[in-house]
Amino acid sequence: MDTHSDSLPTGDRGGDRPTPEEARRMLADAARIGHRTPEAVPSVLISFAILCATGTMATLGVHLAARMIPGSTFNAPLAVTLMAMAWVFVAIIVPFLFRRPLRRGLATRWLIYMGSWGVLWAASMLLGDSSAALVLAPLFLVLFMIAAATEAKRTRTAQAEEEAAQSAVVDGEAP
Amino acid sequence: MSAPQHPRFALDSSLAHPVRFSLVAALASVEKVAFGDLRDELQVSDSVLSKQIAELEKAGFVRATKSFVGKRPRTTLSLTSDGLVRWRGHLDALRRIADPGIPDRRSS
Repeated sequence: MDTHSDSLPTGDRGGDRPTPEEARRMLADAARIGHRTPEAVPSVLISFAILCATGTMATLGVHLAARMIPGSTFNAPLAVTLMAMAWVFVAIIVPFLFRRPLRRGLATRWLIYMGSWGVLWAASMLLGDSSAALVLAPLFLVLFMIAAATEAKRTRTAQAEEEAAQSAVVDGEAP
Repeated sequence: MSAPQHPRFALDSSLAHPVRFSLVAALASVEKVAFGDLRDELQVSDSVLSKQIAELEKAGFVRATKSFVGKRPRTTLSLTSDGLVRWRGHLDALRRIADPGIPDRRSS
């Protein structure tokens, strides 16, 4: 099970000074481990996609329900809101089922994403029966695209760092 | 004016051990990680990981948080802010050893 040497220090085979080759190898190891530990597509991003899609559909749903079934004893906007809230609950639960570690910095960004979503959601529920709903509904899509693009950029940066470290090792080993 | 020190003096001795190096490399990229996930990721035994975590906690690198999920104890590990700064300094020293042309960021 234990694949690490417990006696030899990393990059230090008989002295306290790693050679340039050993230093490059350690940098490549650090980049590889750092890239491997967090998941490539964070499960919270899948949740956020569900939340944003639910936001768009719920906003339009409340808007249409308020216009199409006026005066009915059946409260259609309330039904739409309750069903949407059920999906919100499920979307928030999903990341806890996977228990995958979040990439460093994502916890802060997640609060920003969720804060923005919360403001949009509150506005949509309050203004869903007015024409403002037609403006608010697509904003959930914009919010998700911003979040997805930001996370994709972070992932590409991490991959580029790993590839740079790996190529430095290969260059160092070249005759 | 003194000559610049060799970058090896900037290496952190706490990270000389391969498991500790890998452990901090894994923690540096995430907010926090469960003990079991880290053990599987690094492919070490519970005892080896526990021992190295204790060393890193003593050195101020790592914070271990104990909690319960139902009745099962759960240990979550994260890097301290000081640990993250020292890890970056260690990587910077390694970069300067790998490529002596890279200037010392601490002096700029």
